[in-house]
Amino acid sequence: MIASAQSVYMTNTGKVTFYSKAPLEDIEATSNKANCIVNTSNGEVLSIIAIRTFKFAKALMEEHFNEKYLESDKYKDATFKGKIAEALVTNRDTSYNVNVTGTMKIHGVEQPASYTAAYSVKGGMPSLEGSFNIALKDYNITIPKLVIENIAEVVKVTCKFDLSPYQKKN
Amino acid sequence: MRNIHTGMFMRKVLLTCAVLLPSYALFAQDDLMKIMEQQNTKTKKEEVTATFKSIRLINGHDIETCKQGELLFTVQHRFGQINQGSYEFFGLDQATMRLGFDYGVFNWLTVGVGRSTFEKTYDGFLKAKLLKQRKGGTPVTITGVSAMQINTLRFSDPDRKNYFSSRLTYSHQLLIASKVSNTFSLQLMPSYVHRNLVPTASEKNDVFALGGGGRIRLSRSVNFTAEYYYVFPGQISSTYKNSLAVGFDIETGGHVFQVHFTNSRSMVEKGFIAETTGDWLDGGIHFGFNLNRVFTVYTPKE
Repeated sequence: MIASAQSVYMTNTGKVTFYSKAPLEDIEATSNKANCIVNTSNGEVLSIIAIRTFKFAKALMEEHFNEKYLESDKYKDATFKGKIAEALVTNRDTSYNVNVTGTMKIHGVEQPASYTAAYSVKGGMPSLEGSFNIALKDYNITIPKLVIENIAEVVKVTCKFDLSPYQKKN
Repeated sequence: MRNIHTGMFMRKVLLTCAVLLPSYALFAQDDLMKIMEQQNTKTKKEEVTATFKSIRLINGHDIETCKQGELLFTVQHRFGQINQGSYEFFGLDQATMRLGFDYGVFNWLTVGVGRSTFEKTYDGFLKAKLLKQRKGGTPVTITGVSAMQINTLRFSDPDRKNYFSSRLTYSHQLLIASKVSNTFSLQLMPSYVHRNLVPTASEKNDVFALGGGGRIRLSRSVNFTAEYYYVFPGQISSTYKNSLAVGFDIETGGHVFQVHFTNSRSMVEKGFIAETTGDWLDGGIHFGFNLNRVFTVYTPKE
């Protein structure tokens, strides 16, 4: 039974970046405070990112991102709950692709989602890496006509989670 | 006796099991959620942001400061009074303007300089955020602004002994604001203006006033704003009025465009607080705008 506890790996310093490529400007923002937790015995994955942790090069963009688009006062986090189809090896160094299926919740809207991710283990430490596209309209994020040339309708998201064994805090 | 002991022992075992069991139970998604919640120890209460859309409410300052490394370029216009009729194109034939550069030294400290065509005035200010409103915590943000203005018009009587110091005016304001909700922010501005030289002995060098203002969100990119300064009686000539301004903040990507109607012509504190000449009831209203453009000089490392 203790073994099942050791099959849980997590991080709260995951890196999630998104790129918006639009005619007038490219926008990039990164959060280094993404949470991810994986149960390697059954493939369950949960990832939560506080929207406020995304940092932009321009402070005004960050304000607009939170205030006008993601409404982070109302919808604090982006959440992904899912399951990895493949068995997850942890007892040796390895790397292979896995398929993740689940539900993405952004801006209060849930959407079914399935992604391919790269799973690897080095020295007993697993990590997950992947990238995917998000269409803003799927999550009720609308772009005013005034800035349609500045913000892409589909943004590319990349994630990197270096996980370590879960130890219960006292 | 023995039986009682065994009973107690059994109870202890059961109790221990009950305590230990949850942590060894099979993990399900909800458990992953629980673990995550446990691991994420509570952080400091979140700061409230974007109480106002620009660092000026209309004529006067609001509690916002420039972010560190941000340069704000402001072009402000006030046209003539609307009641001048069609010959002056309702005031649009005459314009005064102020150009300003404000810079965020730190997130909490902004320095700014400006030049107004009205009375050929140079101005400079220091603005510091002293207290920050936090969600579920501190209810208000408090910012202090100290400004100095230099009137550089030629002395009206060059033959008499004129002093440079008589060109100077100072203003100090404490801005207290609360973002009540996403759609509504309110601000109070206790203000003090000092003029080194006043035209007549009956006018006071020190002028105390209390301002009030706010912002109401109309849509994602448009906000309604209003600002009023009440000058306590007996300090300034009766020809001067209290300053009242109403307007709209319109946001685009990197600009905030503020259009408004005000009875004040001057865009520096000593002018609009202590020397407002227009009368709203008489059509003594100026149309005007502030155009704010933000440039990111550098992005501070976290």
